[in-house]
Amino acid sequence: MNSWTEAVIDMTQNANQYDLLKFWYRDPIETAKWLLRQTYNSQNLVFSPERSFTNGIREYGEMYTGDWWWNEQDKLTTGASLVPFIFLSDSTYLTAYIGDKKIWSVYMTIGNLSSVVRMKPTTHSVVMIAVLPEKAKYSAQSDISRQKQAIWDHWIVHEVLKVVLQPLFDYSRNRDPNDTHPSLYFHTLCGGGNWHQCFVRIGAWLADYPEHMALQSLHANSCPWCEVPALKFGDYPSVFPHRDHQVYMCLFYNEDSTQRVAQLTEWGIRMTTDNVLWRL
Amino acid sequence: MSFLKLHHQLTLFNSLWMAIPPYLSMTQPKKSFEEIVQWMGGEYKKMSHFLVGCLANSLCHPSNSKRSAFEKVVLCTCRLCEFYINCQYPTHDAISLDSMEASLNCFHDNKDVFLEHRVLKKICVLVKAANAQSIKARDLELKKTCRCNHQKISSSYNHEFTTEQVQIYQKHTHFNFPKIYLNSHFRELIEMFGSLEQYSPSTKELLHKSEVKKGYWGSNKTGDFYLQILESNARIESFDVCKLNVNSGSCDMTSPNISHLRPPHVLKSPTGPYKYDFGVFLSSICNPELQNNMEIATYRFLNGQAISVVDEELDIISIVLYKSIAVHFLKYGMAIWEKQILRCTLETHWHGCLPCHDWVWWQACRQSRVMSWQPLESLVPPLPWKALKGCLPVQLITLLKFSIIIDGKAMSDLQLAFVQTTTIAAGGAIERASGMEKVVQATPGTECQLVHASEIDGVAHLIPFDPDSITNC
Repeated sequence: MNSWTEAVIDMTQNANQYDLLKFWYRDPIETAKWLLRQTYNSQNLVFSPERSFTNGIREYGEMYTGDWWWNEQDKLTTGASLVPFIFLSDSTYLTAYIGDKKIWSVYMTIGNLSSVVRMKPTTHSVVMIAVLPEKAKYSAQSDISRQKQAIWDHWIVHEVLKVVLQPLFDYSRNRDPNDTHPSLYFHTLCGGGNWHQCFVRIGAWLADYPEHMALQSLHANSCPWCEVPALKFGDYPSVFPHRDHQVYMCLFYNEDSTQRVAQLTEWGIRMTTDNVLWRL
Repeated sequence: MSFLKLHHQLTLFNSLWMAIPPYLSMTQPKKSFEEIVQWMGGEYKKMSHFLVGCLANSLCHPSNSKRSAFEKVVLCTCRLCEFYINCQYPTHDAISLDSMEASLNCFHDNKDVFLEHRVLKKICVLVKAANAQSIKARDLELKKTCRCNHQKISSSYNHEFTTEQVQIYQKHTHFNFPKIYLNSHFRELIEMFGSLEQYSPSTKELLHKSEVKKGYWGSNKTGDFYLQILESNARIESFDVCKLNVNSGSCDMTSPNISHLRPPHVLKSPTGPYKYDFGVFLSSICNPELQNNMEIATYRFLNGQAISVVDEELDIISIVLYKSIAVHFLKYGMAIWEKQILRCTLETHWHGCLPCHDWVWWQACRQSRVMSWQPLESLVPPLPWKALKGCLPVQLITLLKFSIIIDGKAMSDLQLAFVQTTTIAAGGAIERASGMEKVVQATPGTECQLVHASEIDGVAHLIPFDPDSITNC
């Protein structure tokens, strides 16, 4: 198991309350390698997508039976295997009745493990990889300074995630927008004694609704999956397009500011900070 | 709830709700429906079993005017419960997905019944204002007209007000909240990523308890308790994983590199199940092409013991293999001796399980014998390798007895152990990161050795097979 690394974010120019922010994290790629090479996992590892049928009817069960894995596999070189990263994040209180000690932890696991093993706490398949700094308490009373505080909290979360997910950028598909065949991968020895050529994708990020809003930098009352405006939530068959993070990033760094602000606000996106997850 | 209140059915519903028998998978609700303030996952799950039944029974005697509304409410609730239960399937196919979609569709078609119960404060104010206005207008008119018409006028105003109220409700109330919308993506998500059950947030909650809160309870709760939590976690995790890797019955940790250890002549020996024909053995020892690990080890051992391997001198070497030995070892460094059986099975199975070659401590560096007249402290050199005290963890493949007979008389009777050895990494230098000695697998030429059985010290526990230590893959 790779050890914890301590990192610091310099906030001296931006916020006035604190200057240096400490947090701890682990390298997600190393963690994935560690999970893959454990021998007790070797029976439950899957490296290729499947389509399972019963009486001619398609069945959806495990992650590898879904369409997403199948489509992603098509983009890879032959013989390569996909390692979908699943992140989980949640904040929890450490004390029961008093105090305000909170911890906001990010966990990680990989989709190659079958769900029976993955979701069993005794197998240690879900590994904690980062502790995000907890939001500062609202000391200021006025609305404007509160808003400022909220913006900085948002900025801090993304700044921390940028450091934690840095190793994934190198393997991410959006390194070059025109590059459909990514050339970067890592080789690792899995528990069964075979070497695998592994490509990295983020499979899922499990969090509750308000946290999704924070992670994807969306305004409250918007859907994390598609671009529905708040007034259309009641409509049933949803007809709105999915969120495309690549487009967001292109628009965010676009020079023509008036157009992009209007467009992004229509899609319910906060314009305050750059989002890390758009790049993955 | 407000629907039931409006139609005076809440008490009936509550009495039915509380009268649920503890039958099959149904749990008896402890609180009445309106007393449950916070709806959690557990409550939803319990409720989904009997909500529809309670509701349908409490609304079973509708008056004619309310009949259609009652039917719609029951239908909506039924469909929503169906959807909720369908979502929890571990596997989905086209039929279950279609039924999910159909029930959601049906709910959305009939959801208007609940519209007037989703009233916000803002709308209440609007309604109040409208009410006050209509009363004012009514009073004005009542003053003008004679008394006999009063009843007629007020009833007409009342009617007008109710229609206005309905209009306000329809205009301002809506179902535009995220929870109701996110359901519509479920089918798409299942088709892409598989069943929703495996992404359940309850795993996260469990992890919080085992990973975070236990660490916090063990910390001193001040200053850098974050780091204390992380460190205690990492320790527990690595020990647990080591245990899992060793204990897992499903995989044999030695299987990837055990195949070349098998001495081919031993098991196929014509002179008995465990007797070794020395002629065959000797010829293969002398022939470098035929040699396997066991024979290399034997050759080296015999050379070391100054027994020359020449055909004429040696009549026979009988080799007897043992299946297991009992070793006494000192438990926890206390004065308790415990007997432990070591399995040395070679390739044969052990009680129906795969062959598992136990790890043992082997005294690689032995202490020189201390004479009685020498002062202890000054002359005995300390054993190397810090805490290992001159011992190395090795894998015991088999135990064997050598009986060497030369010229018709027994020369020696040796009890030997055939082991797969390890060596100290970096010449005994301490690893900087952990401050510990590191033991790695020996190089392929010398990885197997014959050692004296008396040098086996005892059982070594919890040494996982770590693919990282293999360098020549």
